[in-house]
Amino acid sequence: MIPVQLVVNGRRREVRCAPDDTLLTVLRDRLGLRGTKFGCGIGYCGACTVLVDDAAAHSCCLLAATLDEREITTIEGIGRDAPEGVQEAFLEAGAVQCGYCTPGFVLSVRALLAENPQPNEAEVRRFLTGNICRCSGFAAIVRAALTAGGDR
Amino acid sequence: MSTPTAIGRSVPRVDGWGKVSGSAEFLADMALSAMSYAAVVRSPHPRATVRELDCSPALAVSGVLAVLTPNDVAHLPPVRIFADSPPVQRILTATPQFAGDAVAAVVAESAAAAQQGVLAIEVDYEPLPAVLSPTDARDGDVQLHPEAPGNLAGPPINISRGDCEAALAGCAHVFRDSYSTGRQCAQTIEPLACVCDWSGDHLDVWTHLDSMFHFRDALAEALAVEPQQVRIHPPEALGASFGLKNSLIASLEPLAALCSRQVGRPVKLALSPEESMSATVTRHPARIDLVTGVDPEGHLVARSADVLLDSGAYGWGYVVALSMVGKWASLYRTEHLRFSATSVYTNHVPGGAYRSVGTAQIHFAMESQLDDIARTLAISPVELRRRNLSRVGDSLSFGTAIRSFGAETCLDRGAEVAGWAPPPGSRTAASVADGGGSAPAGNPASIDPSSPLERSESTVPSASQQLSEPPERPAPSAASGATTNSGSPQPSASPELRRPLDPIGRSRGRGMAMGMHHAGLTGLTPTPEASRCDVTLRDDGTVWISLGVIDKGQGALTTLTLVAAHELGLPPERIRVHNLGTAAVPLDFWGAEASRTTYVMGRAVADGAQRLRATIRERFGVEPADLSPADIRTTDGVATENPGGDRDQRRPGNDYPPVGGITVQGHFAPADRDPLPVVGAHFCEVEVDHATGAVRVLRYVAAQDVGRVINPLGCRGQVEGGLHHGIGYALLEELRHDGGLPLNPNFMGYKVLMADDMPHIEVVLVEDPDPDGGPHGAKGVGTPVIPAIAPAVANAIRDAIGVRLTELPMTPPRVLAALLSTE
Repeated sequence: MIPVQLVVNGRRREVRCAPDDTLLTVLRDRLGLRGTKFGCGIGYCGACTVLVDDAAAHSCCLLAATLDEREITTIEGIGRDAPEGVQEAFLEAGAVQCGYCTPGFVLSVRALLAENPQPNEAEVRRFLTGNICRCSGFAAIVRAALTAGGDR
Repeated sequence: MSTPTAIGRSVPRVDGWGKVSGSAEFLADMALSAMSYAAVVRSPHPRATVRELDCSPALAVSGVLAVLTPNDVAHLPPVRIFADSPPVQRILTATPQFAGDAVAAVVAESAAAAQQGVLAIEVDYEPLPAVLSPTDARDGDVQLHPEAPGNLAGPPINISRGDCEAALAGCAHVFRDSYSTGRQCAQTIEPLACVCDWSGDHLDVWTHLDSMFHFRDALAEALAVEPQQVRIHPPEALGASFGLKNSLIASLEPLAALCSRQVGRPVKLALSPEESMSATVTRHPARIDLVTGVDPEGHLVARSADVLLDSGAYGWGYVVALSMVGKWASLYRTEHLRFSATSVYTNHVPGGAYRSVGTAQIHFAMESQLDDIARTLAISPVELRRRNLSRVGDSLSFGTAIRSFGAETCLDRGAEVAGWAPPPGSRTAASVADGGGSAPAGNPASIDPSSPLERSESTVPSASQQLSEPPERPAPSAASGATTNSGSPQPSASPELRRPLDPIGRSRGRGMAMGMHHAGLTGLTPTPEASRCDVTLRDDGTVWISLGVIDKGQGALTTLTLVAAHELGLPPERIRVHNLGTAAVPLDFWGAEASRTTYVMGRAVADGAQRLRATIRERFGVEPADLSPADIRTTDGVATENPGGDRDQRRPGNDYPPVGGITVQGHFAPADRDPLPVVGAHFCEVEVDHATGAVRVLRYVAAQDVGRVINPLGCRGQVEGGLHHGIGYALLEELRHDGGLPLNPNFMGYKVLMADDMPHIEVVLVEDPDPDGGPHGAKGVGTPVIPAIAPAVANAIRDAIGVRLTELPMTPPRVLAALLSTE
């Protein structure tokens, strides 16, 4: 087992990982952070999206042992008591249906706005190609991202 | 009423915070104490016999608790996958009928140990020749299930009105075309899972489902126990369904239940994404042959359809065909109709429900052919449809007179928003100018709108009867001036109509189509369509509504909250709608199937809310909004009707209706013989790359008659989400097989449209209220949005490239082949 120091949602956590433990497994099964979802397991659907040092990443495809001292933000790390901007925009725009993909999308939109605070529609759509939503046709999610961007 | 109306304004969903915060518990997140895990041994062969199964290596794996084999289920009856289907599926089988069929199960302390156990089991298979084509299944000698003579997955359907053959012979133009559709996967992002806890004589089940009571009864039948012994609990949140969880999956709930009984502990069975896609159910592929005769003005005179459905190993194509015929016959007026459908078992993954059961397939065929008819007759496709649309007062297929039919409004509004005009140079340009101003015509003289269709067969006939050849088609007669649109699968080409290419080799085209589906299941199933709910005024002044509807993402809880708020004159914040499971809520057999929630349960909720309001007025002399909690506490409110039922107290976080308060029951059962008809008209523009065959939908206008918009935000989301599935069905979604083995059962191989593939969408919500539909005339939206989509895209491709594609999905290789066929 490999000892790894992760900074998860601002808090330092030491976990002991098997070499093939993914970040997703560590977050869900060791740290109990179940807002990060398992969808496809091969880096296509984006339900497992988290932020690694502010960049969106598929946690199902990252080996936890390679992330020593990295900062990880999961859905539990934002809007702890009340919806923050992106979450509020998702609710208002109707961007949430079944909700399984939602945490991943919220974090992807956060990552997008971190590098491009006021994206246009084409930029939003291109950025969100790492996440799949089967319920919404992406339309309301794109509207939410544009709203959240405009609010900044 | 002092409170402003709660319906018709956009409201964020009531269960939204748990979902955006990640705190909502899905099945994947659920754990019970002492829970163990199951995994399934699946056949690698599409058809085989298990000669020997050696479990001992699995039992030697550390952490493995038990192995279940076909012997452990031998005492149980075969599973009936849906109400009318023949019971043919075993929970575990020694004669697997598709690649992925469940042969054994391993229960272990961890999911990883269960998987190790699965890999350790040694199975000796004798592969058998697989029946992969529905034609072979229908016409061949191999019998797949002893209970299903002729491999018939339910009785064939033969329905007619008038004399189709004779009428076709007299038509000015006769069109004959064949179409085929693909095997679409729901591909929910949450893989399927369930948790079963069989303790003593009670079984508790948390699963991915559309309808609790339907599941309860089906599961009890599969396990040979009484329905009262089974308690179904909805998870807090469900990763969608799209029909995937419309019925039990034998190797999910029944298998997990048996595993739990075996080890005496709760068992979680979570399928992998690959299993969820290739070993559950898919949309039924169909082969559809249409013959349509029209008069010189384009009035539909006679139509016949022959449908062959691939039900896979255990599907229920009979229900699919039943759903097809009602809409095929009722969207347009036609005096002479003949519909024949056969559904057969093959050695493919089972067919099941998928958003817009049956109508997705039949509309691709009929709306594509109508487009060709319009082109041939030089009538605009909008006008051709307008001339033939059914009208209020016409009869639906089981005899209900149409009360509300927003079809023409959808055509008008959709065409207006789409700026629909034939592109320059189109053959149809002149006729639009001619036909655009003409009054809606139809051919009422030739129709008796009150005459329902006749079903000539309702039971399974003998194999010899039913294996007869399809009726011989009348040869195209020169005397009748028949136009024959190639009965062959080759695309028909009209290169002269091809649009000019842009500098990088792309052309654009426009297409439109109409769609009709149903809301509710009236007349389609033996169990009557009805809903009940308990409405309780609590001592804190809030109103709790206890019911059996599942919110799988479609927004049912929010919609029903608004319906109740409106009827009670209360703000939505004072309403709480919840589902506590089969043990605690009134019977609602069909749950969230078939876009019935707003319509049927919506009426039950409105009924209950009206009763509660009347009771409050009577008892307190005030409106609900003016009632203070103090009034309620000082008045000894006595329940007028106790919802009863035992309460499951073991799960933390469940809320229970209050003791005391005032409870009334709401109820609704449609008096109709048909489900509610729901229609839409869709318009789109595509761009086709002539070098690659890739199609991109650029713009899409969907006009849907929803009767009455309860929550515009939710309604729009249902249409937009439907377009993702519908355009995917049109262009790329297909679970493909080679020799019965799935080729692309994962998210990498099974492509869906991504955010940057989706077109610009304009949703037009038409309100043509049905006076005896849902609350305030509401109909349904989630399912009915689907059928028009694939043909609208197909017709736009036809416009762009001058070639008709007749096979779904219209993938780049198929489009390219069609383009090359004209050169």
